[in-house]
Amino acid sequence: MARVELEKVCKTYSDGTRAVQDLTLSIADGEFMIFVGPSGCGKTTALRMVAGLEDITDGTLRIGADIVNDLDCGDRDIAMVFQNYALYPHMTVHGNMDFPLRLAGMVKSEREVRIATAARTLGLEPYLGRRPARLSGGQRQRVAMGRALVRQPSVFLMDEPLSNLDAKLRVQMRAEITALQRQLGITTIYVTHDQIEALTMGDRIAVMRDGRLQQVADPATLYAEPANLFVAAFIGAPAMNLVEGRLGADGTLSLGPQRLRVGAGEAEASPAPRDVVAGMRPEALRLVHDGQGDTARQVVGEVHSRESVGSDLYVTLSLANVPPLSPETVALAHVFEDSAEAETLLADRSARLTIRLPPSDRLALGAPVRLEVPPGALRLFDRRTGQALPCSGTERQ
Amino acid sequence: MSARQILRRTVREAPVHLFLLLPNLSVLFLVYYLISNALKPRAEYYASEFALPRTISFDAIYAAITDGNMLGALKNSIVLTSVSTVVAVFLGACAAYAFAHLRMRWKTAIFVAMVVPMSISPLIVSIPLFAQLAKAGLINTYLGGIIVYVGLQMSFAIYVLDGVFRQIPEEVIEAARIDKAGPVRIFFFIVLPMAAPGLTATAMFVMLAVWNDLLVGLLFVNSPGTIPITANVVTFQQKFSSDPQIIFAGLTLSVLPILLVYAVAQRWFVGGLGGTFR
Repeated sequence: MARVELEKVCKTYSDGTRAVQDLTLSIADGEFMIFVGPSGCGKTTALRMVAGLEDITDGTLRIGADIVNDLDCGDRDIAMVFQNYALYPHMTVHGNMDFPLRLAGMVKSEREVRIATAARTLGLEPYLGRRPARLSGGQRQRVAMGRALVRQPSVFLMDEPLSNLDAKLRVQMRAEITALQRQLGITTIYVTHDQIEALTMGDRIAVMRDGRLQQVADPATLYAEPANLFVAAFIGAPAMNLVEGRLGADGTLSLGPQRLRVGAGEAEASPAPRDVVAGMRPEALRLVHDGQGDTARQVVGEVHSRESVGSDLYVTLSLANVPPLSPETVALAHVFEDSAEAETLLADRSARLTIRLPPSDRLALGAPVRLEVPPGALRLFDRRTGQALPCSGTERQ
Repeated sequence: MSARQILRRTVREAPVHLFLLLPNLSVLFLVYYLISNALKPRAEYYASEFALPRTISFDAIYAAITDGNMLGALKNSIVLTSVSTVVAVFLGACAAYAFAHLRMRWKTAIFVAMVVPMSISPLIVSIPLFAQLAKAGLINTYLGGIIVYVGLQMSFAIYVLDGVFRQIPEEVIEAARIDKAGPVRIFFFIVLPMAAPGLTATAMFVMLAVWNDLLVGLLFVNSPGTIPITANVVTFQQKFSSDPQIIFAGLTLSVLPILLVYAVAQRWFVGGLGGTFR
């Protein structure tokens, strides 16, 4: 087991593409670290640099006490699970797990003990004699894990290992991998584009975009205190509500004609007035009746659409006369796989807020609604830079 | 499927089957012509060369073997073909592995240089080749024949195997690298076993080409101790010009082994080149 330290690590391809820029990150011994981000954000490249499959253009990579920049991948004492498993199709399950041990020059008796232990841990005992082609996707995934396990490496690397499984199996394997990692305590770096996977599995999560690290934090902090608009929009489903507004010198937030009092812990000592983007989690907002609650913390709107997911009802409100997100804010907050998605988001006529309600709630379309923003539920971001405004609750990186 | 549907399908597909039957018949007729005339008594052959033999006679076959050096030529062909095939496919695989999966400078240029000779007729290079082999004292030796065959077949082997190896996912090779396997181990323990069907198919094609070759046999290895079976049969034209049945017998003997191999292994010819490695 070992710590992994990346210091200003860069990857620039020969065509000038900068896949990873100045990545500085320290992963503790035994930690489960997740790299998450949209496709093309550099997370897989970063992992492959740690693995030694990709040369490091600049910066320093340490595994344990050693700088391993120029060390061959076979000498780094790491094991990797690939997205497509990369099993050896001409070898049996036993052969797949035996191959790395044989190459390590281990004696047969010890090899057999290790394979038996891994097979028992992963429930692979009945399949040891089978070839990968005769296994299901989930079983192949386990073999890939087993091949990594038997080596007892100091670092485990996993590149979207669950992305080829169906939804149900993915949830099951998610829990199994997490439990296994906790049990073994091997330092693990896990790459995914799925933020649910990231939030449920990792000790800490590193969010990346365009080759740059956006924020590293434990799941709760990342969710509650996103460092910028991109993290706010990327983490959480449905995403954090974002509304453009202006923070006045008197500590009030103007969302179009509507006013909200900003709490003491939500924005401290910022050079007001300034243009901001207000962020609110759907489950933090509360439905209130006229005249109830703290009126200085309320906004009004009308029901635009409803979406039931069984356990919850998500209701989207449109805030009358509050302008929708500007293209600049959309660009700061999102990465779109295709331009149609961006156009849909930019086509909104007024600002939208999604709230989470119990499934029994019967709000009719078009009904007027009053929402209260409880203390601490408001996050403010600078509209120009997209960075979160400092507040008393923010944990600095 | 109802009887009506079967009938309709049969009628619809009949022209296709007829069309495919024609080339088949022309090939089968040649085989029939060869074998039937090789097995007829002399008188029957002169009576009709197209009729089925009424009595079977092995005289012509016996004469081809005893007077025509067919057993010696068969041995030569087996040695030349097997060694050339193994060497050409192995060296081709080494080169193709480098082209498909190793990082190196000028890869495309070297690949083109290695593969272009495929399009040059062996006839064009035969004279300089003869001069070089003669200088090295390799005319009429197995080694000389094998060098020429390997040289002529390498381009093809590299070209085909490059395609086969490219189908092996890069991730599998990366997994082996992480498992501490170097390029040589990866080649022998991962790439070659995974590409076994493609290697077999390539070997089949190379083997066919070498076995059926005439040019090298006539030019570079034409002594009785080295001449391959096809070239040996060509010498029958002078030796047995008054006895065409012995020529047919020689041709039959030269075709039979390869027909046998083809019958046993035909599924590997094409099957190995179309597979994927998922």
